[in-house]
Amino acid sequence: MKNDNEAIRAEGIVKRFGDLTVLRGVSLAVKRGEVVCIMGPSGSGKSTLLRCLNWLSPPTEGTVWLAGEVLGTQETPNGTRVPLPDSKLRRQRSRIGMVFQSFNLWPHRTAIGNVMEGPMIVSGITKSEARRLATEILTRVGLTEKADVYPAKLSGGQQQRVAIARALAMQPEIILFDEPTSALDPELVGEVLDVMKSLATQEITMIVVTHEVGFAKDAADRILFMDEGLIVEEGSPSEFLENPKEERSRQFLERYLN
Amino acid sequence: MFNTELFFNSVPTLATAAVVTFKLFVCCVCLSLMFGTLSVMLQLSNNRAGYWLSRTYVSVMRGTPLLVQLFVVFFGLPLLGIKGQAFLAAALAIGLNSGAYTTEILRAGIQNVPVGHLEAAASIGMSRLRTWTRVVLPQAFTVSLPALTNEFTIVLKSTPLASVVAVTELTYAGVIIQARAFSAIEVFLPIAVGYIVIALSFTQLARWLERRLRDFHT
Ligand SMILES: Nc1ncnc2c1ncn2[C@@H]1O[C@H](COP(=O)(O)OP(=O)(O)OP(=O)(O)O)[C@@H](O)[C@H]1O
Ligand SMILES: [Mg+2]
Repeated sequence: MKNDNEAIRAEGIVKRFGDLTVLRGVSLAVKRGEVVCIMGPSGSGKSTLLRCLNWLSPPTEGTVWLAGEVLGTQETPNGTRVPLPDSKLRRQRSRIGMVFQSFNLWPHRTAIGNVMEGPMIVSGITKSEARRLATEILTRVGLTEKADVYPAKLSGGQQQRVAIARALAMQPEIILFDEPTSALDPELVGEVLDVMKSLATQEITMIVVTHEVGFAKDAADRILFMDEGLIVEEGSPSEFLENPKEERSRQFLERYLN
Repeated sequence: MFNTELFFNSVPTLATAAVVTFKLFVCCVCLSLMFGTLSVMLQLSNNRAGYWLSRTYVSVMRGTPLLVQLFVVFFGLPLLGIKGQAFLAAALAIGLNSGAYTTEILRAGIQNVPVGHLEAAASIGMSRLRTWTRVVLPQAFTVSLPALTNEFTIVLKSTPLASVVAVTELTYAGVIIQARAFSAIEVFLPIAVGYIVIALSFTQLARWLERRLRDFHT
């Protein structure tokens, strides 16, 4: 399983909610610096997969490795696997960033406050160091002048860029994006995608659930197509977007390309 | 007939007693917030024993008269080796009682916090306790502030109950003077003014806080 070049690997991920099986055995591996886009119809399990990958919602079956290290569980001396103690799980989670469709900024903290929170409270660096780091990261997402503004006074695009900065501030090994632009007005989508494209060129490992075909074409190394809880097709952007093999992919793309 | 002499002679005594009332009020509010916060955290932290402890606390406090609670605390403290502490007993009883209402007020505020905010905290690896203190409670307090302000003005008006265990707060001081002078209006008029001054200062403070906190909710 050990592969130095691998940021994250998942094998046989099954997720059930009661009687409902949402993921039916998903496996994937993402190399360091790789950008993988996940597409698929609504309800196919894309969000659920991302939430399994950072153990926000632990899978029912299957294993996830973060840089070769098993996520969320540990082996006991007698060979069974048990949930990892909370403190260790938290340390693993801090290595995986997540950007949500609905931003989820903390409304009682300013833009910079949101970005500083992780380094200060989770990593335990001093406030002044955290401020310096956060300022630098806000510059990277083009929001230097909005540092002291509360989220409610920011546009959706700006909020999402702050959320990206918040994830970046933990210096994660990989960032998961769950439809980062689908809650945005069309004219605000571009500024967020531009930030994400610049991250893609900076060798940041990303898994992006998105229906933005343009972004996938420009930034992705690989596209995974999900349907009914399985990855049904996988390929380079040009292969997948121009010449999908599966009928389901073709139908899906027809809807989104037009 | 308005006895001006009695009025002016009472002022120093009443002023001293007003300070006692003010101190009692502040202690009760702090205790109420403390008990309320602890109890709501127990209730919502996925711990069965904690949940039932908190529910029982709330039911008992809401279901029995404050006066009875005060007597229980006042006569209970000596059994714990704490004697002659009427002020402490009064503050504790009123604080415990109000804490039950604070629990319920905060619970509503907490349930208002979107799950996504907790998931964002979890995704950067924040601990449960830190998520409570850094994400949930600050938002819950902001949302709950008007209801809490209301609750604490009721607390202020419960403080005269402390007189039954002989704490010389504002109302009791008035009763003592009035019993000696056989005249009430000169005493209870300034007392009423005293309560209004405390209540208004408190509500003004709360409104100032609300305005400051509203900054980020609009
Ligand atoms: N906590 C849950 N409890 C029960 N069912 C759930 C839960 N979370 C997701 N599901 C179900 O799992 C299925 C897949 O949901 P998921 O959100 O992963 O889909 P998705 O591919 O992200 O869709 P969308 O494009 O609409 O975001 C849906 O049928 C959903 O109702
Ligand atoms: Mg989704």
